[in-house]
Amino acid sequence: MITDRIVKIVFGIISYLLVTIILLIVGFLILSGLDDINLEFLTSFPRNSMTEGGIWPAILGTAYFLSIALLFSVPVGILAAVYLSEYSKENRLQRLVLTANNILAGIPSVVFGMFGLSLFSITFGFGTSIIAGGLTLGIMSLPYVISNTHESLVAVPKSYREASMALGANKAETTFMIVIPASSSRILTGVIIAIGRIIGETAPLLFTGAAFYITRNPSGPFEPAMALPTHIFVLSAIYPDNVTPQLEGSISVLLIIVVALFMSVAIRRRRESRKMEG
Amino acid sequence: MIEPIFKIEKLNVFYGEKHALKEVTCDIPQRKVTAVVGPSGCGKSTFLRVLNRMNDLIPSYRHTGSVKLLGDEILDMDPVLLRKHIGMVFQKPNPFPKTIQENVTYGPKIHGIKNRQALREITEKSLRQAALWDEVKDELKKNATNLSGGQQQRLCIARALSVEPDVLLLDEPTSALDPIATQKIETLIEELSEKYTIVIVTHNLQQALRISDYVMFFYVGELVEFDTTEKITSNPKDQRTSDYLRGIFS
Amino acid sequence: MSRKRIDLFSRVLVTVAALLTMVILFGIFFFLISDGVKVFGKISLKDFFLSTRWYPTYEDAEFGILALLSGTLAVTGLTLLISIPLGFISAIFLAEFSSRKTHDFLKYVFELTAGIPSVVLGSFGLKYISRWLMELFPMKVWTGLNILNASLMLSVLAMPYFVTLIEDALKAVPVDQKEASLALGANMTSTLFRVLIPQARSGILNAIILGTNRIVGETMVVLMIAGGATMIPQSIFDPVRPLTAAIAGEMGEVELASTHYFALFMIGVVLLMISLIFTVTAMRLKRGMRR
Repeated sequence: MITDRIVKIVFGIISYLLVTIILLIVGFLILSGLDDINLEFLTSFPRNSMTEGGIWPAILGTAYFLSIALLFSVPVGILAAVYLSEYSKENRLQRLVLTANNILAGIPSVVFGMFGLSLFSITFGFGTSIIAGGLTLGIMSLPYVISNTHESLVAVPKSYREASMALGANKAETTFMIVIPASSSRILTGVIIAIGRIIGETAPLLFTGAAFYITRNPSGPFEPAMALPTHIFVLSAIYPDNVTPQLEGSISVLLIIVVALFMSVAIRRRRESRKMEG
Repeated sequence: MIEPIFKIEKLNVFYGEKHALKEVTCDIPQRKVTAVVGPSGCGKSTFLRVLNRMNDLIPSYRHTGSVKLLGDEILDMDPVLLRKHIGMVFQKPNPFPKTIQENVTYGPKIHGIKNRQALREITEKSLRQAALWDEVKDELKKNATNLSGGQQQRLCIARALSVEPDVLLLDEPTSALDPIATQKIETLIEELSEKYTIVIVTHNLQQALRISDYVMFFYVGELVEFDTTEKITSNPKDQRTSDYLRGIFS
Repeated sequence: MSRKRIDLFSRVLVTVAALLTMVILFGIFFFLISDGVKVFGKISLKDFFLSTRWYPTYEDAEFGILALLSGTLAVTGLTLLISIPLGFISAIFLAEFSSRKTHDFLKYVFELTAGIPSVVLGSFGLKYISRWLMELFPMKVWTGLNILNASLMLSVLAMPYFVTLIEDALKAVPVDQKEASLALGANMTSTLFRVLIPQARSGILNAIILGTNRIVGETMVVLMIAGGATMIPQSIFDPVRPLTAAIAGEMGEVELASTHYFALFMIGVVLLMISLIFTVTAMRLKRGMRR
């Protein structure tokens, strides 16, 4: 049993070390930007070639891109998941859809960016715009919404469906009035996870929707917008050292949002599993 | 014998290759309690689920022969209409994770009743019939999953009654309940039998004998014996029935 | 609409939504391949895949991706060398040696790690790791932006995948197997190495494949800190330009429908094929596991 103790201690130390390093990096990045964040920074436009001013258009732009993305992926994803869990038998078509979804989930984001550029920006003529970038992110998030929702729907007890059918409800009524409401909380958790996956995406937006520097808000969905991750990229890769406060502040804001999303998922999951046990 | 509500002739049920019910022929009488008994795996739950076509949900299922509800072949009926006529209560209480009121009004709503006053009346009537009204009348907006197991099962009965069925199918409705809750449900079944035809599958032979007017005894997919409860207990015709009654199989 | 109509309409609606995923997948292949193959009108298949000379903006432009491919290979290889052993160790600790509280805490942090945007890690590597590398290895390093830097940051991204998926694979081994071994007097460590890991083999392989797929496709980290040099690397301190970095770095300035544009799309096709092969292999393995 002495071997077990040694293995446990050594492996434990390594695991804690890794986690400590990660937490140090994240904590350091959040903290070093914290003193740059204030109301002025959050609500003003960048000025003087981005060496001064704030990140308001990037925050707003990220919200625009995400809204378009979710407007596409949430309804389509939920319906597709309903097909998988409620309507399809274990047949070829279901297998094909599941396979396609898995392959989609594995495709590199830069490839989604090229697809978005080719389809939305060029073929559809949307150019570099909020709508082209948003739809690209929407397609990227679709496989996550589908698999998370599918999992939530499958977790709904079969007895709910039986009880509803036994009352003379048809499939659509059972699905939309019983099964989806019963899993709505879990579906929402899945959507938050999907948001977490795409909020930091940079490469696809660089091709399809991102403006490097704007001085007024976009007037509609067919104009480009700034976004937090692309802003971070531009500040750190293209501009020299004189934008440090802007960069640190932006990173801090993005990380705080990501951590908040993550915490809300963790809390919701724990509440859900407690509900299942109780 | 009283006018039958179900006329069943040469019913055979298959799950894929498995022959689950064999050549079942019987008439189920109206406004009586018929208990379906037999050792586990004998096909009693399958039989119950033939009656409201719940088995249709299983892909490999098919049946042959004739099952008529008041003269109409059930396979020719719209399953939605059929199930409106036949309420069902399941083994484990399965209220929807909604409020008590929403549980009861779900059925009427999908069948087109929108008037709020009417829905409220249905709620009260169904809950009264299920002997639950007095316990929950002040908390109709509470989530049904907060009720006790026995209350949940009575809510499920109220939910089944809400669409005014003619028949109530009960699939081992007390198997997940404690003795006191069980007794309440048994009393309720007796009351309900004045208005409804009740078919109850039960594992508990004593219960079957206590509450039923007729007993069907299934053994390995065969309907061995079907008679009034009195005759079956006093004078079983088949050896297997008397063995079962004496507790040789379980 | 009648109830029947709504029912039918819903059935059609959800089926269309499900089919849309397949349409999108085919669309991605179609758009990338149809633009990508046009590069072969100008460049031979051999030159494209076997030449190391990638000079897309020169007067006599050249489009050989071998150096880019070697960059991807080098960065991916080193990342795997760092993150698989560490991920494995943490997964084992989580699966068999940690109390529930420890387990939950560590797992939370790893899951959080999976959510760190890669552009943030790129920025961190650019600003801090590159400087530290220069100070740590002053004789060897001529740029802080190199394979090692990128691999370190990619390891942060890849490790949570390995930890989570390998832990799942270990936990998927039936408990009775573990108990049988323990009941024979084997300690946890030998049970782990003789029973659990061999039985979780295909799940672990599955984890490695999926993690590798993520690393190959990762863009921002390698764009920002792999160095960007089109050369076949000789050491881990050399700068490289992986496939994804070439696309992301050049797509912004490229002229539409030029040879360069088509060449970048062909690189996209290569990435698409790599991820297709990885994903399908992983799915096969998983299906095999269930049987």
